[in-house]
Amino acid sequence: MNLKELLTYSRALLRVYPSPGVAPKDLAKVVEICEFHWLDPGQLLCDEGEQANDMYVLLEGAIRVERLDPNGTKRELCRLAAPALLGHMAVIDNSPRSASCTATTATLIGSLNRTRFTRELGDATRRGVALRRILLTALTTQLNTANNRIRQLIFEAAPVEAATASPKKKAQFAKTSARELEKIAGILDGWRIDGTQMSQLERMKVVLDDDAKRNPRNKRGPGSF
Amino acid sequence: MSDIQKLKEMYLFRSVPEDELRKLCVLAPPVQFRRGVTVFQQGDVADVALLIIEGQLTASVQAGAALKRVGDIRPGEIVGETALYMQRSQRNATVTADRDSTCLLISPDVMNRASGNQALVAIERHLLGSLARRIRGTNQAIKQIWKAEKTDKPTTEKTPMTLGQRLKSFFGGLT
Repeated sequence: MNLKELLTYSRALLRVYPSPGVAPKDLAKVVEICEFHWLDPGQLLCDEGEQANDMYVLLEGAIRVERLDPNGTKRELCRLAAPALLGHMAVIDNSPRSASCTATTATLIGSLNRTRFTRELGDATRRGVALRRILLTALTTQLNTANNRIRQLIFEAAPVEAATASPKKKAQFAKTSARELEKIAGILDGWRIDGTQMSQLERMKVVLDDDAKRNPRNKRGPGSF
Repeated sequence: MSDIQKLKEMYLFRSVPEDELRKLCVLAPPVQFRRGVTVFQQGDVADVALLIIEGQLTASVQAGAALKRVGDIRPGEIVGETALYMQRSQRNATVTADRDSTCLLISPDVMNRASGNQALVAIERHLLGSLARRIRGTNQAIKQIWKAEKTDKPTTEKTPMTLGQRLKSFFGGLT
């Protein structure tokens, strides 16, 4: 891929993920180290539940994102058009893929493997800065958007529930749901909610840092839940 | 103990050379908040983040007319990072100093000027892990709601959506 193409893709990515202090030429250095491959329409990029070894940059085309619901039925979550970051969560915290992605049209993907990803993440060069900040921008936006939406649901919840059940049940349900959502909003904000929620979070917590795993005394690390 | 020493003892700076911490402290000099001082006000425009060096801050959110305490922020923790990575964002909680506290004040300007500083690299890596955990935590909580809703009777088009269905429509497209 030539410099002009790299810069074009980088500018497009920065429009979607406006990352502080990152110039297109910096992000181009990240795109440059990706491996590129084209997917045919209908071709699977990654499967829910599989171990993840790459993060992806969707450069051309579009992807259908699907996930299994609690009943085990595959449901379409959304369709993503280029440019977009994909699969970064799984590489950041070593968790399995949370959804399946399938190309809906001829799609160009740039992939960054875990080894390279980890090395660049700790790098103080412009490339390392660009990678960290585009990821931080993506995650912050993700959290903030979800949080705002959940807050909106909390405020809308009571009148909607009140229209559908017996008065006592409706009031109880609305109260419980609102409380539950309030907790979720708190988690999204990153606050400790209460003892129960904390222990639940502790169980779910994924330790990012391998050093922490090797040294149990430092397992949690400051600033973690 | 000096602020540099306190920073050096923090887990997130375990592999950062002392001179890099010194450089960061020159660009982002530690600031002090007296007990009871309001550090951030919910709804205000977010412009800086804080890394707590010493003391303790408390986060509260408006719940009707009352202010509900939702969590504490302790040394080594970062608060208000949304300001650094989202334009025109607002504070989603009020943060007050629970004790006399010392914090590093990280502004977008510091981010620009210290982008290659290893202490800032450590802060950003730490934030990535922290944000990822919050997102996973939320997803797990949402999944629990899904499971709880599983036994509910399906609604017709004329029936208003329940709260759970609204969540599903947002997080999972299940309606």
